[in-house]
Order: sequence, then structure tokens, then C-alpha cells
Amino acid sequence: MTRLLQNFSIKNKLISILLFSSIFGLVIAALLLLFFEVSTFKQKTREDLSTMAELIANRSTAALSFNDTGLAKENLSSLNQLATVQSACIYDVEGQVFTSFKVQNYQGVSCPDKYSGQTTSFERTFLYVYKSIVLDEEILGTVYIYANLEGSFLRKLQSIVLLFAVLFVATVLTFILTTPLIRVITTPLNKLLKTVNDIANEKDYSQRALKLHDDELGELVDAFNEMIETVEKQNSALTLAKNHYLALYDDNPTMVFHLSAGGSIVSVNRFGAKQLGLTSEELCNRSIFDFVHIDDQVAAKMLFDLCIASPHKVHKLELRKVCRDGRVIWVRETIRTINNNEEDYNFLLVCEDVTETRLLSEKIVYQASHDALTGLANRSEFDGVLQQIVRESAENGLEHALCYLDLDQFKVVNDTSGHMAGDELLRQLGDVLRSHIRKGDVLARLGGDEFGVLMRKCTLDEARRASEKLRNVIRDFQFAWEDRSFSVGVSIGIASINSCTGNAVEILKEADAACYVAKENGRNRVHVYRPDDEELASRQGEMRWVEKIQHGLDNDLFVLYGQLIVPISEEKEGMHFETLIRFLDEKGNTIPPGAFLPAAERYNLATLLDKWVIKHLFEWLEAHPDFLVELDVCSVNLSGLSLSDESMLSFITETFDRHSIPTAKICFEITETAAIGSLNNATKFIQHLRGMGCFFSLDDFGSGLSSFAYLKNLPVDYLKIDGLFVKDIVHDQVDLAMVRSINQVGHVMGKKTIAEFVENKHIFELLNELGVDYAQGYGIAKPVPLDELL
Amino acid sequence: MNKYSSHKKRNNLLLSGIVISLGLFVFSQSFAEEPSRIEYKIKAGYLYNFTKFITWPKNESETFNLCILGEDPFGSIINPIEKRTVKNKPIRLYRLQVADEVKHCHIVYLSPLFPENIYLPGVLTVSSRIPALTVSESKQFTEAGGMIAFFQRDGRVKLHINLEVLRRSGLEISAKLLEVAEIYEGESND
Repeated sequence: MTRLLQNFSIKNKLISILLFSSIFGLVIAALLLLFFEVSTFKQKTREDLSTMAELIANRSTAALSFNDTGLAKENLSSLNQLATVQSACIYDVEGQVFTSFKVQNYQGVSCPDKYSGQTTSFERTFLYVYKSIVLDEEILGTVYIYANLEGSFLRKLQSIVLLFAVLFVATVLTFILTTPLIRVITTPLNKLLKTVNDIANEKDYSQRALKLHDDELGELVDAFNEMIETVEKQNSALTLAKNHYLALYDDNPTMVFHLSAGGSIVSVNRFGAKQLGLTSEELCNRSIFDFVHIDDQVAAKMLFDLCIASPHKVHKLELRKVCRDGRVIWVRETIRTINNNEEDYNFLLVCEDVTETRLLSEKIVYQASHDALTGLANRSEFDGVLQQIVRESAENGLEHALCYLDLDQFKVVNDTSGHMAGDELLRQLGDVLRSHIRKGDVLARLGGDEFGVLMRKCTLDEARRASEKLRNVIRDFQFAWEDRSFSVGVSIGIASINSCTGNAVEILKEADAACYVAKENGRNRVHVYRPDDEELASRQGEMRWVEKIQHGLDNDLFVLYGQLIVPISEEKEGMHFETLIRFLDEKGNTIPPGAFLPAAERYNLATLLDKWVIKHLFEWLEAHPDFLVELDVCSVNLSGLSLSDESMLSFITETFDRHSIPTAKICFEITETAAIGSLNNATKFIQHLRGMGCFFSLDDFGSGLSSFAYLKNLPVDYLKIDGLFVKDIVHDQVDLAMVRSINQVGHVMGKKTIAEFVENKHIFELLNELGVDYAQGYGIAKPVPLDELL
Repeated sequence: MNKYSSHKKRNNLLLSGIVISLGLFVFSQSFAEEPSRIEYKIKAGYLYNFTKFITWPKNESETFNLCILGEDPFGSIINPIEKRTVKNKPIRLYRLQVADEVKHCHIVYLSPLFPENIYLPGVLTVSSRIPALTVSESKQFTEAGGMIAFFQRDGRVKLHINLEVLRRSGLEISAKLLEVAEIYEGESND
């Protein structure tokens, strides 16, 4: 019954309880009523009839004693008054019927024939009453009364039913009247329930239940509201905290992954998903390795294994991730296990995007090892590779080659068309060279117009062939700038790298020296360094010269030489010579300028050298006044740098004044390329000194560029025809034609011509025929110390 | 208590003995006894029954004396009555010939075999001085001043009672006895 009621609504429960108690009460009442009424009725009837029998017995003592049946019958007939009595008898002491009586309409036997000790009893609705007739303790007989109580019972029952009906009606009425009262309980409960459901469904904790009564339910509503208020507060605090942490999680500018043991993504923050170009939901259950760069897969998996091997440590790794759109980003991964249980590891992975830093550092590394202009390796990178190769070679005995490339006439491009053009030329040449070297060889830009090539596993012959190829390529390369076209040459020095060679610095010096030789030998050629190469040995290494030059300038280790210049026509003129400079080394050897001038040019020592020459020449002239008188003109070389040097003009003027040298006795020689390189400066310089009375000659004319056009603008007095043309004019018609035409152009422009490298009589005579004004060279006079000119 | 109960027990035994003997008596009567014998048996019972409906004044007598005056019509039939008691007093049968001897009797039965005139006045005289119930046959007896008389009606033995005499004698008579008897009111000579 209780179990049945458990799932009923409270209303139904209450109704059921009400109904049950009503029915139960009714049934109990009915049963008790029936029982008590019937038993009471039986008891009463029995008592009544017993009393009646007693009375009759009492009254019948005499009748029995004196055998008076009439009186006895009379006594019995008084029972006629009682409706229930059907019949009655009196038995004598022997149990024989003494007298009997029955009501008129009673059909049965009035009484049993014999009395044999029966006692009063009920038999269904029949009552049998037996009463002894006693007189002075002596039993005289028995009174017997038989009553049929059917009718009485029926009436009793009817009255009970009526009573029950009244009871039933009262109960039903009570029930009907009470049922609406259940609402007093159910209505507030249902309202509370509705509120609870609303709150549960809408998650709106601002709702409150309505308190209807001040009973326990009211208290419940109050308590509920209080609870909901607490919940609301806590919920809002929780939501706030959750949003706070969610923002911290989602908007954190790092990618945060929760990974399963197999590397599949359990969850990822919004930023991380955005970085990869997907949503958090799309990323769920995908493998993290799907996004690892193919080259980093192994490392990433190793990191996982490492993490499992030492679970409580934090591991870091930088690797590349591939986003959905194929973009590659560098991330710094920080990973550790989350302790779920011993077997099943989960991982917390935080990735910081370090792409920019990485690219920056890569750029820095690249920049540190590459030349910004050409994109080739730079000097330090080249040195590093060289050192490595030298080390390897010492170990495995493999032969390699180092080529040192120096562009010829690059300065001309730089000086005539500006640095932009020079830079562009270098860039293009870099590309050209790059496309003509073998894979695995290292090409680097070592300085302004110098390149280096490291040829791996390469014999000297192979290196020479490769270098010739490079030389031809550069020679054939035409550089177009604005409306002009330039072609440049290259001088290449080759040094071998093998188990017997020295260290990287020495090899570099060897190659540099070889390159120098190539340049000395007329440029645009290849020279291979040999340890027994005397010429080279004496000049090895330009760099060494920087210190020597400085030392020489400080200690006057330079000496002045002079080489005579003679008129070719037999007209007699005064002394005419070109001042030359020589270096005296510690052993007393005289070193020609070709060994140290390139170094001086490169390291800005040329102007200092020029100044030293002018100072000492002027001192010497001053010290030899007789010679000065005899002297027609004395030429002094000026480097291109000196033309641009602002202090040079004032230095020359001061020196002229200090030593009282007539300006007309001095002729400054400038090279064609130097003059054209800074045409404005050169023109101003020339005009200034010529204004003072000095002469100017243009040196090495013809070997540089097609410079006839510039010649018009250069106010020089002499043209010195490049010896390269001169020395072969006897055999080479082209050279002859060149010399002839230069001579002619010079003369037309009103300039005197001087031929260099006049090495023998034949040249001299041919020059005479051509009408060249002056000759200079070993065939006429070798350079000698100035004092020997006296 | 024990004494009482044992006493009572004895009484019951006594009673049952009577019932049995009476039963045997009735049984033998129905087969062999002559009608006068049955009649006297009934009358003997009646004599005993009177003790229950009539109350005698208290006296010192230790026995309840039943006297038969004159020739005894009962014979041995009445003898068993001596086994009974009246108010715990044993009944004693006295067969008397002289009327004077009745002064200790509680019940005096006047035999019908004797002429009325011989004893009647004496008896009446004696009984008028002592509380004794006088019983005899025929209505003349009661009309003459006797108290109870047996008479026959419809073959049954009926009682005829002179109530006035009874009342005067000091005996108390139960109304129940009166119900079964024919009452002689007498001539109101007082």
C-alpha cells in the first residue's frame, strides 16, 4: 500500500489517505456496529427470554407440585405477548412434557418429546431457552421456550444498514467537503514546484517562490528562496570567475592544448585554434601531429616519449607547425604530463608563437653570414668554411682550391656612374658567378670588388680551368646602366688546399698574392700560387703592407727614384723625369710600388704616400738648387683618392711655398680611371694647380675605358700612352694603330704625348715615326735613385 | 464450609434416592398397581409438597411431624417420606388413633376410613389451638372447618382449601398453592 502510494502526487496521496481512512473507518464501524448490535441483541433477547422462563418457572412450581397443567398452560400462554416466541413447554421432573404451548401460526412441533439436559442456546436465528423449575433446591421440571428471531434480526439488520448508510453519507460528505482543503497544501507546493522547475529549466536564479501561508510550507519557501539567493550569488560569482578564467584560457596569446596519451586533441583554447586556422570544435579528436611540420615529426614524437619517460618534468622544444592554410609557424612547445593515473597519461601542451623571433634570429644569422648586397656568403662565413675545409683536408688529405677574384676596372663603374651602379654591377656579377659554380662550392664576397670561391675536391688544374671559365664569363658580361654599357675583367688568384698547406689565413694570403700577380701581369687573367714563386713571395699579401706602409711612412723607409723621360725628336730639352717610389725592406731590398700601392689604395694610405712623395721630392729639389735650375719638369704621381682629398690642395700649396719650388717645374700625373672616376673633383683640382702654373699629365691612357670623350674636358698637358700598347707596337698592328690614333688625338687637342714601356731602339724609332713627343722606359733609362740623376 | 457442603451433598444424595424410589414407584404403579394405590401415592407426594408452600411458626420440635390420624390408607407407600426433611428437620410419621395426640403434629391427616364425627371435632379443636395443617378427603372436611381437602376431578386429585381457617391457624400459605386449589370462602358467620 505505501509502495503504491510512493509515486502518487501529493494531492493524490492526500486524497488516497483520506479515502483510505474513510473506507477503513467505515468498514471498521460497520463491522463493530454489526458485531455489537447483534451480540447485544442476542444477549438481550436471551436475557429477556431467560427472565421470562424464570418467571414462568417460578410461577409453575405449584402447578407442577400439584399436577395442575391448566395453570401451567395458563402461565405459558402469557408468552403469547412476545412476537418472537413460537412455542414453549414445561417438562416435569422426569423430562416428560407437562404442558405445551405454541403460537397460532406456528406450524412445527411445539417442543421436543423429552427433555434430556439441554441448555439455552442459539441456533442461527433460533433461540432455545431452557430453565429449570426449582423449589426449595429441588428440581421440579424445566421450562422450554423456542423463539424465532429471524424477523427481529432482519429489523436489527435494517436498522444497522440504515445507520451504516447514514455513516456512509456522512463520510462521503466529509470527504467531499475535505477534498478541496487539500489545496491548502497542494497549491503552495505546486507553486513552489513550478518555481523550482522554472529555475531549473531557465537557469534563471533571479526568480523567487511566492510565500502563501505562514506554515511549514511558508518556511520551506523562505528557506528555498534563501537558498536560491545563495545559489544566485554563488552562481554569478562562479560565472564571473569562469568567464575570467575562460578569457584567461581562450584569449591567452599562447596555444594551450590538452592532449590524450596518443596525441589526439582533447581540448584547445580559442587562440590556439585560431592560430591553426580552425575552430576548437574542429580540432577536437584530431592528432596534434597532423599539424607538426614533416621535418619536425620525429622530434615531436621523441618529445612525447621523453615526456612519458620522465612524467613530472617540463620539456621544451622549438618546432614548426603547419596551419590549415599551409602557413608554417615556429612555436616553442612546453609540455608536461597531467597526472590522471599511472598508465594513461594526458599532456598539457603550451605553444608560444616564436615565428617572428625565429625569423629575426634567422635573419640575423643570415645577415651575419651573408653579404647584404649580393646575398652571397660574407667574409666571416667564408673564413669559417675555409677553416673547416682546411681542417678536414689536414685529416683526410683531400685537395681543394681557393680562388681569389678581384674585379678589374670596377672602380671605373663606381666612379663614373655612382655607387648605385657599382652595387648593381656587383649584385648582377654575384648572380652570374653563382650560376657558374658547382653545387657544393662556396662563393663569397670578400671585400668591395673581391670575391672568393672555395672549390671542393678540386685539383689545381681543375681550379684553373674553372677559373678561366669564370674569367670568360665575367669578361663577356655586359653591364648596362642608364644609357651606358660597361664590361669588366677579373683577376683570379688560385691557392691549393691540401694536407701540406698552412692555415686558412696563409692560404687566403697565397690566393690574394696570386691574384695580385695576375693583376700585375696585366689584369684579366688567372694566376696559380706556387710556393716557389719568387716574385709572388716578395709581395705576398697585400694586408701585410698596410702595417709596413704605416711603419715606412713613420720611419721614412721609402726612397724616391726617378726615371728619365726623353724627347723623341732630337731637340735638346732640360731634365725631364717621373718620380717613382720604392720601399726599402729590413733586408735592404728595394720593393717596387706594385707590391704596396694596391694595399695603399685599398686602405686609404695612398694620399699619405702621395704627400710623403711630394714632401720628400720638394725637399730634395730644394737641397739641390743646381739640379733644379737644370730641371725642365718633374712629374709626380697622384692617386685617385688624392684628387678628392680636401687637404691635398692646401698641402701642395704650402709645400710649394715652404720649399720655394717653382710650380712650373712640377707635373702631376693622374691615371685616366682616377680622373674620370671623380671627374668634377679632378677637373677642379687640375684647374686649381694649373692656375698656379703646374702641369698635368694623364697616365696609362688607353688601357682604361673609351675615354676620348672625357679627354676634351680634362685640361691636361701630357698624355701618357699605356705601355701595354706601346711595348708591342713593333709586332702588333692593332697596338700600333691605337698608339697612332691616341697620339693623333692628343696632338689635335694640343697635348704632348709620352709613350711608356719603350724597351728598345725599334720601339723608339717607330714612335719617332709616329710623331710621339716623349719616350719613357727601360730601353731609355731604368728608374734610379734621385741622387743618381745628378 | 466443608461441613456445609458435605451436608448439602448428603441432602442431594437423599433427594436422588427419593426421586429414584419415586420413579420406581411410578413405574410399578403403571403396570401392576391398583388405582387407589396410585391415588395415595400422589396424595403422599402432595402431603410432602404442602411443606413447601406453607410456612409453620417456629417451635422447639426437632422433627417435622406428619401425623396420620385414624386408619392408615397409605400403608407403606408413605414411609419413604421419613427420609425427607422440612427446613432441615427430619420428617417423622406418626400413626395416631386418638385426636388428643395430635398436639405435636405439624400436619394432621385425617383418615377418610373413619367417620367424620368421631375425630373431627377433636381434631378441629386441637388444631385450632396448635399450628397444624389439617388435611383430609372430601370437601365436607374443609367446609366443616378443615384446612385442605383432596378431591377428585376429571380423574385428577385436586385441592380444596378453606382459606379462612388457614389464616386463622397462624400458618402462612403461598399464593401459588392457592392458584392450584379450589378456595372455600365459607359462610361469613363472623
